[in-house]
Amino acid sequence: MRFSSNQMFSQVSESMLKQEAEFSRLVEQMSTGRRILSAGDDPLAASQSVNVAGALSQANAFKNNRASADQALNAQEGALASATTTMQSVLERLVNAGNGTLSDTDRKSLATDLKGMRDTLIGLANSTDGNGRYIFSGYDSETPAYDQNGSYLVTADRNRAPTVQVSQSRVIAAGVVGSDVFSRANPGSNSYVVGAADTNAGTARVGPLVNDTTVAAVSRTVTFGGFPGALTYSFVNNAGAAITRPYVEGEALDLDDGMSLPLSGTPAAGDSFQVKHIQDDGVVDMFGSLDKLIAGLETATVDDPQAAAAWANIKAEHTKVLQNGYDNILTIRSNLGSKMQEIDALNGVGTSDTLAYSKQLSGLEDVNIVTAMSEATQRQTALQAAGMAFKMIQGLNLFQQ
Amino acid sequence: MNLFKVGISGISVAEAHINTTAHNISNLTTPGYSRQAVMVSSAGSQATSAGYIGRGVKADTVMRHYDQFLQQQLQTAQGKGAEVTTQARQLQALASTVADRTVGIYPALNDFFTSLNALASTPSVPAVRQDVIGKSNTLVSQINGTYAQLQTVREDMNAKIRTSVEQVNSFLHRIADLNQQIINSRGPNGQVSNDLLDQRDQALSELNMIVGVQYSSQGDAVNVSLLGGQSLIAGTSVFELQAVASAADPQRVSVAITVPGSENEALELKDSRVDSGELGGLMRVRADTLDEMQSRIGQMAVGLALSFNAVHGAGKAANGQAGGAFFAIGAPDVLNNLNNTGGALIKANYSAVGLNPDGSAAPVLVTGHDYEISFLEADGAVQASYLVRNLTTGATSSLNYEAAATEQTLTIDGVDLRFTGVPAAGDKWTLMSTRNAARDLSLAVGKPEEIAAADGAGGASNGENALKLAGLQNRRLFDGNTASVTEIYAKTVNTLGVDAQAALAAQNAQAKLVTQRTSAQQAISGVNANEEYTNLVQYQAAYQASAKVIDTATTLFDTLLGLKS
Repeated sequence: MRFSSNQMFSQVSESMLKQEAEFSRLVEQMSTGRRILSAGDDPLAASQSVNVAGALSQANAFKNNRASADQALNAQEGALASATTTMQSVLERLVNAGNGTLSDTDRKSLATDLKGMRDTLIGLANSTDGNGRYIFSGYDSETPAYDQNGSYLVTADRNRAPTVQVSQSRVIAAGVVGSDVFSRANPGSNSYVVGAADTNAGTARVGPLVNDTTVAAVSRTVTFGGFPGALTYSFVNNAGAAITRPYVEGEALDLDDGMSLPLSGTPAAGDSFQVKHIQDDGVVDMFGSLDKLIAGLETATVDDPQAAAAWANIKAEHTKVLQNGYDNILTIRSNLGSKMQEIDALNGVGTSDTLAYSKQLSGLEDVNIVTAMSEATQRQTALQAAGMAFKMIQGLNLFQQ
Repeated sequence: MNLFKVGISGISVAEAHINTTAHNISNLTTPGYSRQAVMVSSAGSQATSAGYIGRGVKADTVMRHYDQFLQQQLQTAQGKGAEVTTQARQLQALASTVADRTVGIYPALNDFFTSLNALASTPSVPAVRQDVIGKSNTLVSQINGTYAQLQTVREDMNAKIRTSVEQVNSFLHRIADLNQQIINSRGPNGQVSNDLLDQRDQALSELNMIVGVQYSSQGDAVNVSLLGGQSLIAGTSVFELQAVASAADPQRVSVAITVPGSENEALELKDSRVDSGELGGLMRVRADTLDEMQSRIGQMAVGLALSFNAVHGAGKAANGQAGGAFFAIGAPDVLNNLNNTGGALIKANYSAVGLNPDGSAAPVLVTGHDYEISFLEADGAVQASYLVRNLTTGATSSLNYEAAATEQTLTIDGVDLRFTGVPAAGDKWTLMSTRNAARDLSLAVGKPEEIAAADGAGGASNGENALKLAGLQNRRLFDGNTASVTEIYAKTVNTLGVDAQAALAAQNAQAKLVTQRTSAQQAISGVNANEEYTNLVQYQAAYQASAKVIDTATTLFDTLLGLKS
């Protein structure tokens, strides 16, 4: 087949241009460290790397989320640790207060102690984080959780702990709300407290309620009626029937549904006692209980059997409530602890995921320097060979002989 | 006497050979030159009593070594080569706007959603809110910026189309001139100038590289037409191409042919009818890739804005008020066709995206496709109506025309259309649902406290709504619930990458084909310097031999003259 002179020259020059273009592409790859210089180089790898980069960025976002959740949980745990210590002191004082030989002055000084501890607890309930936001106020973090009277200030629709998305499929509440700490019975507790009405005139002191735990008895109020000497007590039982029984001194009150309430002292007609299940609304209100105990300690009981009985009933009821509240705080702390552990576990998974993504990304995008350099050397050789071929072709011209 | 004639014939033929060889050598590097050779034949013989005595040699003609078939094959391959090279170059330019995944829209999207996640965790911290505003601004400006880059490519293409059309016209005139020259050059012995033929072939080749043409001979002239048959040159008359603003979209430059027999009347060609050559490549890239890419990015912008606004509007801002719009978008463009005669006006708006009962965003119905709206007048029992046709899927919708109504509405694929005024038969409009949406995207939220991170309950640490907003990163709301906002963008980039790679591969393959066909054509028509050298030597010897013959004839004559003494 004939070859025209032009063709011979253009063949060689085309091949040199091609080698040069390839060589310069390799140089650019090596100097930028990237294998994919434009979307057309390897579209599949380019789109895969876009996806992996997206996953990596999301993983980082979740890592940041976990850090802020951890921070929030730690802040609450710290406050609750102090609250635990304070409550232990409170319960200790209450044990002291049970000493019958205390004078009114001693009892007043106990009341002062309790007041201080109550204020400490309110302060803890209104703890703030580094940004000045109240950590126990749920969504309403610009309002303190409790006011100085112990009333809860957060409205029902905002009374939720802020949630944080800590991983692709897991949204956790980063803490608890104040009402769950100070105004809630320990979850799962199933007991009763007995409260005496403020207007009680008698000197009856109620003992601990005896109940059959297999029967779910509804809270009930026991009211004394009749005449002194022929007292009766009435209540409404589980079935809704109003029952009246005669009161026999020295015997425990039979309250149906497996409940019986021991009494000591002498009740008066018109006295009433409420048997409340601990989980009922409003029963556990730690600040309310503290207030009642403080008021009770400030009231003189020496030489006043009715006041002494009232104090005994108050102390019995509210110590039990505070005990339950203390257990609740411990429960919450363990809850927070397990959330923090979960975050740790997710952090571990997240770290290894991030590493895997980074490796994948590098494999897709980064140039293998060794391969690129050896290919570049190859191209160089090819370029030199093409140049030499060109020289040879030049010499084949008869006009130059 | 005869010997002189024979000798002289030999010398003139040798001279012709040498001249032709010299011509070939001088035109070694002339593009499109076909090597020429002198066709010689014996000059016949004269009958004598001693038999037939030869009369020498005569040159019949100078012909060029030329194969029509190979030439056309080469031209077709070169035309296609120019098309795919232009495509590859344009696609590279487009791909470079989205090449680096560490700059541009993608990282801006990722950072935007990361900032929303931080907002969901700690909505009460002002710095976090400010960060959301900052990242939103970055995202919006990246989207605007990408649109601007694509628009630059579009305007660049318009300019190239205009330039190419000018080039085509100058070639057309040149070819028509050559036609005339070739007709005039037909010599007394029926010869046309080989060099003019070569020049015309070269002009046709170069024309073919700009826009694919086909041609056929008619006598000494060639008639040239586009591959679709539209006539460009008939004999010596030229019907120029024109670069006109498209009737359907005045911002788009289209190619139009001049209607033969009219006073410069232009007939616009659809993009798909311009094939091969640089113009063909530009049209392909514009119709298949650029339009689609701009529409997709617009679709992403619109979908992001609408779904975001829906969720944001249901939340509460830090100042206690209901969240307003987060992003602001424009309205889709409805373009009047330049040939419309009626007075109807069509306005379009994006329908708001609703919320599902659980508070999550409903699917985004905007498709990103272009639609043609036409008015069909009443035909017997069939009422007059507006017909809306999706130019990508072909799906149609129609709305009966009520002359009595002052305003009629139709919602199609997430776009609300409002029709007012009186249309005329044959009026057309083009609805580009998202082509320019990326230009109009902006941030409606100005201050950090206007961000509605909280749900209806409110509260400074309430981040429930922000959680839903962050979740939009992965919610598949587009294209019939198959793609999320980031996936739409990734699809666009991927399609572009695949197209660019395919164009590059086609370019390489076509280049090899062109090389092959060039070899075949050059094998016939190319000049080989060594061959010409040997020819030169050969013909020189022939010249010397013929000169020797004359020498001999002179000696004979002298001998004859010297006989007397």
